[in-house]
Amino acid sequence: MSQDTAYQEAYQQGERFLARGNFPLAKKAFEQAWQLQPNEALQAKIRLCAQAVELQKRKEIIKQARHSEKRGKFHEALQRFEQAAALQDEDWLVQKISRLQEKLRLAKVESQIERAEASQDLDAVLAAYDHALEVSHNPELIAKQGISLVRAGRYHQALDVFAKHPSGSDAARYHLGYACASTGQYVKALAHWNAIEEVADATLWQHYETLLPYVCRELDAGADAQGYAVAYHSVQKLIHAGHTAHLADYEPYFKYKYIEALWQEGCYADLEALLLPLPHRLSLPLLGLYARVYYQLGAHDSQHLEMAMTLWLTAIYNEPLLQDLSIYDVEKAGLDLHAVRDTLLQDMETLLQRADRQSRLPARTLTYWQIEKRLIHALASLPLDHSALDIFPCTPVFAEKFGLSEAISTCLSAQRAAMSEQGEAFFEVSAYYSKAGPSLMLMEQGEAEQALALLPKNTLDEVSAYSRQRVLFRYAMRKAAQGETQTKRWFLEALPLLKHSERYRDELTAFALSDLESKAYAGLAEAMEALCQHITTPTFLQAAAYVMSLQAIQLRNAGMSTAAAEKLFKRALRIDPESALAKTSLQRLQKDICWEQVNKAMKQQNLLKAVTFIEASGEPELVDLFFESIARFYEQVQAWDRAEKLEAVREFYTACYRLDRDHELTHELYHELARWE
Amino acid sequence: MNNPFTLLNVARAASKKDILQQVTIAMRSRQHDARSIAEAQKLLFNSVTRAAEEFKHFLDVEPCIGDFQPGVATTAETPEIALLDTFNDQAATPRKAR
Repeated sequence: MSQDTAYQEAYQQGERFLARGNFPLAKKAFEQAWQLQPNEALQAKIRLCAQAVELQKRKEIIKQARHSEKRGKFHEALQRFEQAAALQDEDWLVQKISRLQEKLRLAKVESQIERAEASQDLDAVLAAYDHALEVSHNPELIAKQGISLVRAGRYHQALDVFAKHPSGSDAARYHLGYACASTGQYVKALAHWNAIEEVADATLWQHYETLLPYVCRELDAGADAQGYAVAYHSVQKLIHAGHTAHLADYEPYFKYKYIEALWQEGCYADLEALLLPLPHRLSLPLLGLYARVYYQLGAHDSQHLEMAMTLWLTAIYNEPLLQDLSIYDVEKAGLDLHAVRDTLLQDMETLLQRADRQSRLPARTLTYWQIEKRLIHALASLPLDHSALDIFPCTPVFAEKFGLSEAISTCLSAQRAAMSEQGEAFFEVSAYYSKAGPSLMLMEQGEAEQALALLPKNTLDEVSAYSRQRVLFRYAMRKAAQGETQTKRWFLEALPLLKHSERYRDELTAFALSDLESKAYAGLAEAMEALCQHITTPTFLQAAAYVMSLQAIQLRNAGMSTAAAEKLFKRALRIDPESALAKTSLQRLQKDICWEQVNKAMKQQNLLKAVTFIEASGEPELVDLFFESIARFYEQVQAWDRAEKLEAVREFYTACYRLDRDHELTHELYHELARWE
Repeated sequence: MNNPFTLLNVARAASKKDILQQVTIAMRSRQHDARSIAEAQKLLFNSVTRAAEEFKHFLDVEPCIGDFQPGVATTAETPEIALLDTFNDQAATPRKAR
């Protein structure tokens, strides 16, 4: 075989191996060809194959390294990675090697620590940790060091370690807390233990209970809200964990101390969460607390003003709260409590008005304020025996919220007989504290339908009945103003109220006499006519007749027949015979009726009949109209022939003479007839 | 809505003499404007408005707490709590966030 042929064979073989990716054999084949015929191209191929072989080798090494690492043979893995890096370095490989080295160092130092701990030689343990931390700044290691220090009783050292490197593990938190407790920092101890996510040992709760008195002592020596927050939340955790023994006093203690601390720091917004949900009952001290807090909350956020004003009103009317001020230690002279109350009232009023000006107040709030202010003042003024009530007086909303409505209603009822002279005042106040109270409040702010729907069905007692009538009266008034025609039944249901209360009678009277929209008269007239059968005071009757007359006028203008309108006016006059409007209107109407009759008679050419009607009416105006008509007819008949004209003039004269013999036209007609006759 | 007691840094039961002293100090410190200081003094010098301001700005929680005396049961100077081993057995590794 020639050298060329051998070269070609080797070269071709090399190419075949290269095509199949078998770089070692390809390289060998190319090297054989090189031996026969060295050339640049061949050299390049050999280099290419050598590189590919290196890469394959590196790839294989890395694969082996990963395999070793997976099996935990870090030393072996590190060696292989280093081998691969020697062949070709890459960033990830560098990082991988660095991590493995760290891991190996950590494992080494951890084993040193374990050996030291097994020897129970504290100094050896601490030295091992120090050495370990020099090698690796691993947070886990630091936490373990801290824990070891705590277990060794070196609490201050442990605190230093934990302070530099806070750990998030439960074990670290527990030991850190223990170190704090051991160095007199009881609040911090609880704070760290509160952060433990999973309490594996229920004995921890005993730690809590043991520390609580010391926590109290520490906080009393001077603490901010944060300290009390920790204590309060600690107690909450205990309760949540079911360890409620001995805690009945601690929870309110820390809660109110926390509240006090927040108050002193001016953190009013944080206070609300502690006060909610509202308790079912409020004691007097709690009332004072809630009133003040909500006042401040309302000053900063208007959404709290509605609750604030209810609590505020109740608080400032309960004198023991006003009497419990240190001003009495300073001012020896008597303090005018009413003046103080007025000042506090004005302060709340200012808050409300400011919020209203800034459009941050719901419309109903100011209405409620006026009602509540009026009622608590009225309740306070009544001569009641309220010794059974801790809080008295209070607003209706307060009574409803805190379950005092029934007690106050009972108190009022018990004194009913003694308050017979109070009359309206008793019912006015009692109504708002009765079961119908909420309905009345709704009605006051214009929610008529809701108020009606909320009325209690049982109205056997007189207060409930009164309340119902109040709501129905207001409802009827509203409906009447809106032009509702079927208001009679609502007014009749409120009849006892109208009969006994001059105030509401006067209100209805004034309403009827006011400048109402025309649509209001229809329903109102019918209702007042029905009421007049039961209410006979002169002003009421006058108002009823007035409204009925206006309604009749409206109907007449709308095309009602004269006969029907006449009946309406006569009904009004039966109620008030002196009604000027009814009288005048009826007169005018009767005049119209008469003129209709006169016109009819004249159309029938029966002048005497017409005259009879006019005479019966006695209306001078009708007489004038008649003479005007005759004068027109007289002109018309001038064109007639003599005989017919004479007949007509004779008739005219007879009629005119009967009505007014001295009338000018009568004389003229006489002279006309005389001339002819 | 400034608290006149806080503004003038006077105690709840301060006398008029105390108040006047604090007014002088407040004027010198210039932390508040003269008008506010004068207003605060006026409020505290009038017994009615002073009582109203006290009512508004001082919170009494002691009556809410009742007769509870938390420190009474404490006799030892420091609490005795035994270190638990349970937490020691746990790894020092922080839990992964859930």
